[in-house]
Amino acid sequence: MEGAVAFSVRRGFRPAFSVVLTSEYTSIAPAMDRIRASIRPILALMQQSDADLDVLETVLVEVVNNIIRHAYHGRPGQPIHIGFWQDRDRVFLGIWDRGRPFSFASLPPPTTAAPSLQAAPESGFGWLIIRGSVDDLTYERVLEWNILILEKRL
Amino acid sequence: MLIEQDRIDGFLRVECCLSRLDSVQAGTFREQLSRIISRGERAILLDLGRVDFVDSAGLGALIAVAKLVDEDGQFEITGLTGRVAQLLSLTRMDEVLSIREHA
Repeated sequence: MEGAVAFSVRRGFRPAFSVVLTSEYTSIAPAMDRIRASIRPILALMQQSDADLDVLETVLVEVVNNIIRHAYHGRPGQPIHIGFWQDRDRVFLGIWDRGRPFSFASLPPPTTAAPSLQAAPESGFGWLIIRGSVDDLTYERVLEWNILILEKRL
Repeated sequence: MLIEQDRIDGFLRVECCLSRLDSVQAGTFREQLSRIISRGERAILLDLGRVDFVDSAGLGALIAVAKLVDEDGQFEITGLTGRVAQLLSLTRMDEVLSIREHA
């Protein structure tokens, strides 16, 4: 992770765009529509396809799901901020929330192949999806905010 | 959300009419499919051809209902769009689910 971006996030430097949603699952899809509409022309200028957009949406949905479920414990009406920055061959997503601090130590271990369908997990896929889709990930607790920054090389 | 379409090779083909199988829809999806299974249907072909997006909650619901049928029947999925196929591959759930190329 390039420190400048984390610095920008912390200092409030303006991202290419930002979106604020509240902590209800029903708010995710409309927010993703807005985010896709904002990111698409930026990625097009970077000569990237919608496939990259799909990956970013998949990751963002999982992060927001986790914030609603674990940081806010399902409490509605709480703020979730999403910012997007670009570099020459990379994009960064910053996600802020004011929920409970996040603990990497509490994450389930990465899922390995299940020996059978009956042995397959029914949850815990979120972080597997996030980890498997981005190139770098940093987390900071600043004042009362959780700040997660995801980097994706294009 | 789910439409029972027809029978193919002894399988009841159930079409999922959602574009997103996500945290909002996962519970209802699981409930509706469980109701079909509880009727005694033991061979289900779930057609996901209209589903463009599945998140971790949707995937969990999919695995849960697949397990219900798998105990004494057959559960297959078909019509996977590129994004959904990628998600199954990333989570390695494509290795435990039965996937049919064409309905």
